[in-house]
Amino acid sequence: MNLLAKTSLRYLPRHPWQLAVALLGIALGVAVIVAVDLANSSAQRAFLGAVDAVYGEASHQVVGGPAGIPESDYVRLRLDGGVRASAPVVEGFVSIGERAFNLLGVDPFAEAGFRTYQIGSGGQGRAWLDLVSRPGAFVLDERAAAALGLDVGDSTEVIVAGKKRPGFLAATLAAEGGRPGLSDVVISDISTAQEWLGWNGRLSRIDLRIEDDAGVARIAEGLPEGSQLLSAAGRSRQTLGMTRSFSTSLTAMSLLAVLVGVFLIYNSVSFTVIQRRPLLGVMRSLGVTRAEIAGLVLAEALVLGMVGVVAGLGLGYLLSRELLGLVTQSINDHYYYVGAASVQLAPWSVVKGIVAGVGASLLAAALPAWEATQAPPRQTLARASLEQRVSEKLGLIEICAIAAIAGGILALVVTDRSLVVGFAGMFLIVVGLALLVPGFVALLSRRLAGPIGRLAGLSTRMAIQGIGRSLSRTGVAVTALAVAVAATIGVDVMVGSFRGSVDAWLQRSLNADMYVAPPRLAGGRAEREIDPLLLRRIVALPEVDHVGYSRSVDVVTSEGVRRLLAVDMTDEYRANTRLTRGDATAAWAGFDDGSAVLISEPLAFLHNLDAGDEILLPTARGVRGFRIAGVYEDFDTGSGTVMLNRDLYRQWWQDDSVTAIAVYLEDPAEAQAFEAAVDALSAGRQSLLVTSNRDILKMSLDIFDRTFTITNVLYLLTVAVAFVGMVGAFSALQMERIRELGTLRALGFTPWQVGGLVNVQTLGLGLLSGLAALPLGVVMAWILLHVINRRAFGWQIDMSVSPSALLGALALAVAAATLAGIYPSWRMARTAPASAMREE
Amino acid sequence: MRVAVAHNGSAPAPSAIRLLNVSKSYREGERLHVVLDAINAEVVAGDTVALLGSSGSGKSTLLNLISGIDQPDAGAIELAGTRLTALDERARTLYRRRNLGFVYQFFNLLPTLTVAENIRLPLELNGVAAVASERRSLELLDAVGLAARATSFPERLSGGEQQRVAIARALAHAPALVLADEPTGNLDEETGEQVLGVLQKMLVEHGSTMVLATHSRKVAAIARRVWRTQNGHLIEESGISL
Ligand SMILES: Nc1ncnc2c1ncn2[C@@H]1O[C@H](COP(=O)(O)OP(=O)(O)O)[C@@H](O)[C@H]1O
Ligand SMILES: [Mg+2]
Repeated sequence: MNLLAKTSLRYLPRHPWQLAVALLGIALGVAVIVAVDLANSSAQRAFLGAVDAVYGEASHQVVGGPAGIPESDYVRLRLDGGVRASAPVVEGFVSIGERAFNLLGVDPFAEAGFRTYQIGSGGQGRAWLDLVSRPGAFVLDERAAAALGLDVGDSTEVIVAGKKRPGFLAATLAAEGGRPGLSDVVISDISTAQEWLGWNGRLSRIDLRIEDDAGVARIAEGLPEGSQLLSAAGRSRQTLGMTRSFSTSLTAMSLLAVLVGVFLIYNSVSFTVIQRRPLLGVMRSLGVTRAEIAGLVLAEALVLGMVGVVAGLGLGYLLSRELLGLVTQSINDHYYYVGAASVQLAPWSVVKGIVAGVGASLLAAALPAWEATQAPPRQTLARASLEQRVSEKLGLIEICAIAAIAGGILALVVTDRSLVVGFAGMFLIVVGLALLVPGFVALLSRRLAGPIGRLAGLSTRMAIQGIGRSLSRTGVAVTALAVAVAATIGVDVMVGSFRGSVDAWLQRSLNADMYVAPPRLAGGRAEREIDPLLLRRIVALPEVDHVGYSRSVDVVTSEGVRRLLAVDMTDEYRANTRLTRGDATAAWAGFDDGSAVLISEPLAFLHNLDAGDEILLPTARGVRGFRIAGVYEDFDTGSGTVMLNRDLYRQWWQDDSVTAIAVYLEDPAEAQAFEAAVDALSAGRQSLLVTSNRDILKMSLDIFDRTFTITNVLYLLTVAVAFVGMVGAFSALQMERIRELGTLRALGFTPWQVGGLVNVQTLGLGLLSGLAALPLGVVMAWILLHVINRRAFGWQIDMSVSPSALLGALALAVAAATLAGIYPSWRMARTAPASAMREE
Repeated sequence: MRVAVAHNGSAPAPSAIRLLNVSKSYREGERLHVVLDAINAEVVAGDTVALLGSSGSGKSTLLNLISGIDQPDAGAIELAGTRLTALDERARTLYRRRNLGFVYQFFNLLPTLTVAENIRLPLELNGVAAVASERRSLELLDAVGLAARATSFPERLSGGEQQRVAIARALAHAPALVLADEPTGNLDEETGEQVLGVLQKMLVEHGSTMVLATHSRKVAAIARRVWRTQNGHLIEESGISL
């Protein structure tokens, strides 16, 4: 091996602290990047798998209104329309034991060419026959059956819309080789599903395979009023689109993690080079060329990067399993039931981790190496010249910073819908502000050194002044810490403000005393109607003063799923509904007389709709435009809600059903009596949930918190990464000063005094970068709320900054700094001055 | 890479160093601090010259210019007929690698290489095979009286020992020119004398030219010629201004 290589090969093992920090830095940085990416992509895949399993190979679907499609339409389509490649489907949700499933009711004889099922061991040939002939027969994924302890031929209870139904496991689907998405699906014959769901004679949709455009046109032509023909690809895209904003916000968090991860890698690797500046100078004077030094340093960084990446990939995989649970939980809560997904090793995620780890390491080594070799060798030998060069560069950095901020602001100002540009703008502004941090810290430390020195003596003054002078080695760490701390502020303020807004909104919206509705299933949709007879009896209960009925249903449009909320507006409800656009008096008048509808704020923002516009909705009598009278405050996660008068709904959808009742009691103290009365009425008929407004509030906020668990986890990770970087960089800085500190010991400083100096300096660094993080964090929060969340979900949230978020962030920076001082001051106390001074 | 062209002068001994109107100054805020002011001088091959001057008089600056690790503001420097100031950065580095040896006040040995490896480094840079460089490093260590410490790391050695290693490293590849900047500046008097003895012996053995910077008249005495650095000028000790 050549001697140059040996110099670097031996360098890091002799500085184990630096080596450990560098490797840990790379590993953590890579782990965060890979974990978020893996969790995200695995969740997407599970989601697509689930959607795919249910949609199968259909090219098109015929969908109806809230009441579905009459079975007779299917027969007509098949016989008169001559469409042979068609399959009827009844969809819903069921639970078996504690587990929720998508229910897919199919006609086994029409399924060929749409969905393929691999029947598992036992009951091959008989399975389909059983399915059709035996009441309550269903098929389940092998693993799901095993998890429930069911064998083929077992009977069990199936819970549908709150009612218990007898079920019978006719066969299982092979886990191996089958469609992955089928693991959370219960398949039954169409008649079983119709009976369970109370959809006799009706279908949810008809799957079709149509090859040519002429066929499409012909079928569309012949469709009865109230049905539409949609392309299956379009529908799965729409369904996926619902979660897109959610995964985009995860991506935003992972970008932040990447930013901090790369900072950390940069910091720890560049430090190993910067510290060797004088050595590089000696080499240069011996006649080692720039190219040779660059090669040396890069090779070293490559090895370092690869070792760190391997560790980081392992760590990232473990981490991604935890994250995935959180992601699927949120998808299950808000969008679509995908069950529990498992982490799929996506080559892309791994490649990203490798590129980030190795790339950032190489860059981190190359920049200081380039700097060291650009200077004439004579200057490289002198350490002081580095600080000078760095402070000369600060001016340039500030110009770049201001350019980045200006670019970011411009990006945010010129667009008002594009999420991607929003992210780019935020990224630019954050990077720009981050670049200002070292200059800010230097300025503050210079300004403070004098006054503090007068108060606390010369050595403290020295320590504070040292902060500014150490920026060549600590600048990146200080910046990374400031960004991470700012991120905690940003996320804290964002989640806090959001929670505050949602809380206030829920308190207003939940103005009735009690709510009665069938239990909601996972997936957040498929609300079922309340039995009409039961409904009449509940309303007649003596505890009831008055009620508000509502019918909520999802309709499919060519632009996505819209939720219709048909209500009998009570005075309380009206008073608590905040209109954000449109003239209130006119809007309510239009709503009341059925000449117009109201739309939710997200729907208005995301689809650029405003009061006075028209919105197209599929009714039972074909697609029709409705005038929008106003926009109301709402925080839904789907693609938007249309609120309309129940008379108007009844008129166009011919549907009189009710999915929830808001009950205003004679006396709120009678809540329990009311609940007991409803339970008694509904027993054996339909299971109904009676919930007080307080319970709904709590449940909703629980879901809210669950959704933000992942955000919290990610930002804690980011903080951990920055923390490690900070501890590493600061303690390495102090280790480098060991010789200088040894001199102080020789001059008569006690180990305690020297330790104190070390701690004053690291504390000062922590405090100053914490201070720099405050404005950065508030700016971040503002952009997250008013640009990112607004563009992703359409939510309008008021920002509120709590002092505790700011103080907590400062405390975090100071804590990191305190930790960073411990090891070097301990080392100093143990090292005899003579040997400290000898050390390089 | 440019090949050194032999100096075509009529003088019997070829010149090892020629300084032609060499100037160097540093900016100190608004003020310009002139360290070397249009210096002219010549050193013949095999000669030894001491730069004698107080601290801050520009000795290191001049050595750095001669070695090409710093560049003059004006003027030219020729080493054995090669115009160093006309070479680009890479060519200067390669020239230095082949033809120059350095001894510093603070030894500047590479801490991660053993004593023997430090000496082998310039040999390896010049393409000498491992076996040969190994042998040569041991010979040199023997010559500076440190054969027993070949596999030690520099930090284990005393200052005088480290400087003897540095001398062996400077001469390992038999450079035409050796530059020594206060080689005894960091050593006690007795050790300093020992080290100078070693340096002198090695120079005689290799026939290299040497320029040595020192503030001590006693150290300067080992050189055949003595130049004083003063107010940006060079003055030959005999009193003749160069
Ligand atoms: N990089 C530099 N920047 C500014 N001034 C310098 C630099 N290097 C040397 N000097 C100045 O040049 C003068 C000569 O320095 P030097 O050659 O090191 O002196 P000597 O080696 O004789 O002690 C000194 O005044 C010193 O301050
Ligand atoms: Mg000097």
